[in-house]
Amino acid sequence: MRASGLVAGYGQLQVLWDVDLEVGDGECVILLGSNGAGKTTLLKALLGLVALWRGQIEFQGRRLEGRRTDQRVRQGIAYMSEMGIFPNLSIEENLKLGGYYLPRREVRRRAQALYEMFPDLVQRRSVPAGSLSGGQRKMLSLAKAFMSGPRLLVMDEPSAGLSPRYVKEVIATLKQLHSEGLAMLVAEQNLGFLELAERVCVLDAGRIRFAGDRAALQRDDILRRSYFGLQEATDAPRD
Amino acid sequence: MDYWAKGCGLPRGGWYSVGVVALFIVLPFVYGNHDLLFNMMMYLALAQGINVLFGFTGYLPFGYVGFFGSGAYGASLAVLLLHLPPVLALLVGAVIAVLLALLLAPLLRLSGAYFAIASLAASEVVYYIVSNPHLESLTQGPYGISLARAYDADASYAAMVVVLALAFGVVVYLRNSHLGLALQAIREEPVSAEFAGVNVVRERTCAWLLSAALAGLAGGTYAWHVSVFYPKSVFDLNISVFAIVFTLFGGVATLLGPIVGTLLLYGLYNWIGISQPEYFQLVFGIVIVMLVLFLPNGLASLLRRVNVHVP
Repeated sequence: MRASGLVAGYGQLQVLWDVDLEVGDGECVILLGSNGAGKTTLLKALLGLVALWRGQIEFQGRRLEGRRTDQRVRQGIAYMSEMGIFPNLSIEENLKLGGYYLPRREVRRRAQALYEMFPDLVQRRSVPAGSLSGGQRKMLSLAKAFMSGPRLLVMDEPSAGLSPRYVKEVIATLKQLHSEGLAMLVAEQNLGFLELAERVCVLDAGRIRFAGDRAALQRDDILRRSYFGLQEATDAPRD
Repeated sequence: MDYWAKGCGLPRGGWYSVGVVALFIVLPFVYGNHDLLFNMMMYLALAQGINVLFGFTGYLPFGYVGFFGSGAYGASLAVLLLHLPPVLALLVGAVIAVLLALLLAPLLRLSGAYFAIASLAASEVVYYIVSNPHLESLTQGPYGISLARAYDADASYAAMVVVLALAFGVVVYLRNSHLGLALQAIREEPVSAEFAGVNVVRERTCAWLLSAALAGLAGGTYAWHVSVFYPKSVFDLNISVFAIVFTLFGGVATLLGPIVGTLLLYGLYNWIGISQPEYFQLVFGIVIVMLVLFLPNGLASLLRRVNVHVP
């Protein structure tokens, strides 16, 4: 996916300022940024949930601007977010919805494969998804996103609300999916996810402040300045 | 959880539908009040129509009677003006209802109480247009319509059996199909449904049109059965309210819920509602309050609590 010159916002409020972003085939890009940096807006703009004011998005050689969200999803982009599951529907129904536009036989085959990958879900396949714990919901959300066999998995803070144990599980699962060639764009605040990244982008106040590999990020003090906000703390005079 | 239930040859819930339809085929031979049976079938079909829209997409159409009335008028005018046989005229009634639904499809941009009120207002608009004395040459205005020459109680009864079977068929299909699942997803969270690749606008409109078609068919068949009616009687808000309450009482998004709700409450209505309407209103009011307070998901939720699958 290649996005260039993205400008978007809500009403009169501009949130994204000329954002460029690229995720190559099979690549994992971590999008870091503090609260309010514009990460969710950027992901929503990529998925068509926030109207672009300006800019271009290209995926697998096709332009995405003007296409509905469901059309973008059908082109191979899956989105995993906090609100990605349907709590009153069963786990099985959630998975079926994940493969909504696939042939019935294919849905069954993929669900079977995912049950093997997420054994916690098998025992409770017929219970409402709302009865799952936070970590299990996240796993279901991930499984559901993966049902459609996406080329690019877009995730908005997959670690949000999870205990450290579940964060490790999520990272391990993502690592496995990524090793199978799945491209990922992960918006996160948890630096633990950096171990997945081939490239990192830091978003600050709606602008990309850094884009490069992990090693370059470590050399750059962008995280200190725009992400942790430590610049002021270290510069502050001591009593 | 396959579409086709193992071994029985019908989708899940199919046998219940067959049973209820068979019951209404047999009952006229053993029970003399055919009008009661006809009306019960009509409300069963309307309740399933409400179920298609409200149960599967979450839109509560208080103006649902608008489709019923337009179906009644569409079918009647097709008989009177186009001289179509009543069975074909019923299809015209359904088409008119669907056209009205297409015209009102922008209402689906609203939600919750706004949609409910807007749909009610829309049905009132249709009522005032139909009953307008200036349109007497077309709709016969407020003076009502007579289909005396087409009257055939047995044939219209049979037609309502078919409409009922069709209504059940639609709900059974939705209960077992990807489309039904997508509609339930839309009801829960439209944005998340889009993330699953569901074309929210198209699927929601599909449910809206299906629901309107069922009401149009029921309205046309009702017009044929009573043969003389006034605008007020086919655009009566009580028709919407009854169908909605029956559906909610039994439990939405199930096949069985609206069936049980209609049989119980319409039975109650005929037991005390006609001889002592004031007591019926009282009992009906209490039932609605109790329903909202203690069983917001209808009787079906009682079964679900004890892990019984409700088709």
